[in-house]
Amino acid sequence: MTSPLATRMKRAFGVGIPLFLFVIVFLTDVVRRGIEIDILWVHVLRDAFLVLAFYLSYVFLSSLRGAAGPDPVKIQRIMLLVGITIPIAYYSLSLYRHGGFEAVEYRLVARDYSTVFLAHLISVITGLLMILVLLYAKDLVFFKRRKGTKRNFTAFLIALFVTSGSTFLSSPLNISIVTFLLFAAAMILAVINSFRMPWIVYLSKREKIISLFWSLALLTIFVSVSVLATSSSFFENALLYYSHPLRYFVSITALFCSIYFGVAFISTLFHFPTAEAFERKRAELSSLHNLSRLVARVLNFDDLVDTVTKMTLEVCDAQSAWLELIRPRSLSRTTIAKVRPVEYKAEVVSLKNISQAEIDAITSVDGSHLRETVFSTKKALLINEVGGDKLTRHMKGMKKKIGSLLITPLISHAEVSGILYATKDMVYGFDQDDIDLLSAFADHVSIAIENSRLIEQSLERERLQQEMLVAQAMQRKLLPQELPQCSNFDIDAVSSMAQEVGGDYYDFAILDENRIGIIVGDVSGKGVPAAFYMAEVKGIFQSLSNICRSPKEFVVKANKALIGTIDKRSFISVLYAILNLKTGQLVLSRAGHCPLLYVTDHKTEYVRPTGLGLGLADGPLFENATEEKTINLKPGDVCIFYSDGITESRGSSEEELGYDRLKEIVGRVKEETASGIKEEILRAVREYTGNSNVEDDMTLIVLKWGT
Amino acid sequence: MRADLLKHIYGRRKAGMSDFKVMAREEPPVSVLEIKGYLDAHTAPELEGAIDKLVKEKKYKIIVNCRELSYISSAGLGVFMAYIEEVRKNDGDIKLTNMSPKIFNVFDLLGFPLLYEIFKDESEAMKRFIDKR
Repeated sequence: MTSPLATRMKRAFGVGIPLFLFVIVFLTDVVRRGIEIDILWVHVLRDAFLVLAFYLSYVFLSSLRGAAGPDPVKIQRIMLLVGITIPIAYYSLSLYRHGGFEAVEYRLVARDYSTVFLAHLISVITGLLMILVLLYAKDLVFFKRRKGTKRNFTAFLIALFVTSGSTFLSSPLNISIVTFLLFAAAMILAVINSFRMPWIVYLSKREKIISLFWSLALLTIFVSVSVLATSSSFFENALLYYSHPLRYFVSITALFCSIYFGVAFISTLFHFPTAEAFERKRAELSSLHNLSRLVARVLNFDDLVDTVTKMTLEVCDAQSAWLELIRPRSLSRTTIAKVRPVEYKAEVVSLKNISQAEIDAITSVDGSHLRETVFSTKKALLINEVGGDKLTRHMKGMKKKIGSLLITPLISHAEVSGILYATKDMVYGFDQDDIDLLSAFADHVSIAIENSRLIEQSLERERLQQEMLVAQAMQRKLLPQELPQCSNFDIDAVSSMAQEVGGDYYDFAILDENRIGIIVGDVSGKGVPAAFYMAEVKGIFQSLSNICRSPKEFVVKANKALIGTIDKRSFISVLYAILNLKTGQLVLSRAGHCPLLYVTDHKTEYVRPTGLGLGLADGPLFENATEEKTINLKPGDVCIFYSDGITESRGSSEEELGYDRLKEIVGRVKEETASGIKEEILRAVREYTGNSNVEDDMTLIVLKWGT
Repeated sequence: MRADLLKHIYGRRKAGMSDFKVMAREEPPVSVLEIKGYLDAHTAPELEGAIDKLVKEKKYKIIVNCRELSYISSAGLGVFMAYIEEVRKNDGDIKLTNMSPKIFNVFDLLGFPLLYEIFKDESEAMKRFIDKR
């Protein structure tokens, strides 16, 4: 549809055909001037050609004119240029010498050829220009169109064309009743359409002033054209001679425009007082829109609060503004319903055009009632005359001149999470619109601040989670990376933490070519604190195990090392055994830990030397409490070292796995390899915990002697 | 912190595990705390609060009756460790009584009987406090 060829063809038709028709009609009239042609169909054809020519021109011009856009001032300017061309063209053309018309019988006859020529020129120019005028007038009427707009204007157009058409082929010197009535109807419709000028309200103050002048000018021009078209001037005669319908078209359109711009002029005048208010309202709405978008976009907390105070200044034209965030003083209080100054903390996070000292003078202890009023009402507080209001009596001594003060709460989860302050030098500086706007703004702000906080918290949480994963990887490295290998025994071990890090520990130490140390330990508690102690125990084990000849010696020295640093509520249980690889002798000490489970061919029992957990007591009390026991392992014997996470494993039921059941399980599978026994124990644990979360750290070492 | 936040951090609690109660009574010159239910990291603060209150009121002769105690974790044990020094410094003590075999085993494994006087019944502990005078 919009190919260059199609456009060119449209242009060719739109210009070419009307031009061709105008020329034909001109030639016809020239011939008629000389020779009397009384054939009716010549006249009919001539007039029909004109209608066709103007119609095509109308179509072409309306397609051309799309560029104007909804700019009323621009439209008026264009109409002014178009409109003023008519009288200018007419007056300059009519300067050329011409004989004028004379009425012969029922029609007009041109006295000379130049009259014919001038009449054609004037009529075609006026006709085309008035078509343009009508098209632009339509744009103005259709500005912000409503339901009735199209109907009313179409009615007017119909009346216009019917009235004009009613004079087709009639004598220019007679006016029929029908035409007159139609004309009246058209004028009524013209008046109805002349009150359609909503575009005036939307003009800025400057545009209104310009529009005032344009309207006046347009009024003048179209009144002139109307007068010209009805005053028996050469202009009217030229039109009547050329085309009777055209003259009606011209005068009705000109009259319509006169009325329209007359009303526009008066309307614009009357709109001046409200112009400022209207503009403010529009600015406020677009401000609020910008604010909410901006505030939703800014995620960094500092940028956000800075934007908030900046926008507060702009939005209500304030001289200074600041934003306070309210936090309950202690974390356990989540609401500040019963408010006293000590219960909450108010922190200024952004300020504009005011100093912290001045803010303190306004809202500190003497002024805390301002805040508290807002806490209890959860609505904005407006002080119209700071100097005279009893609420702001405390501000009397301030150097900074403040006339009015608007305090708006930020509500989040039905609580006041912050307060936005704005001041103006003028008294009564804030009106209801400012309060409404700032309140609407405050709602957006509290959401944005909460978002910003949540995002920061989320990022922090992610960071901590990353740290925990790193800690987890590091702690895994503290556990044995490989199991000791020996032809005399079969060992398997496993350890799992309830959280990312934990307090369970196991380790092996090659003490010399014949002896290996095996330790399992459990720090009281879980998580990060337990993990710290676990690392300390590993350090102690690595350094002391080689020096200590016996398990008891190690345990006693380990207790001495720990008692200084360990928290008084914490303790560490360990089970430490030294295995002689040559003789199969196992010596062990138990510092508060779960007893060793020992399986030999005819019995399964717990070996439980007396002992005290590490960190519970120091000196002789600890040493005296610590016992050593010895077992001589025979081939096939199994020793299980474990932590209480195994025996205490339980699922949703109250039933623990327990020591008895562990004994029974191991007794059942003692013929298996160390791995097999380990797997069986783990299977039982899984069975007991079921689908619920693991509650405690778990460690298991299975030692099978002599394979 | 809010209970619901705690729950979120520590995970969903299993059924029946959050039940713990401390009932305090005075049997001058001794204060008796009857603890009932599940004593772990979540519920230990309650026991701590009760002991703390007695210590603030300078009531250093304390008996903890564990008759209805169903479970104790290291956090619970840690509460006793936190106050024992101060209590003994002021010529008092924390004596533990009426433990079920299972609960006693937990204390015994760690060697608590070597640090604390544990009695089969409250009356014995009471007698010990009075005789000492």
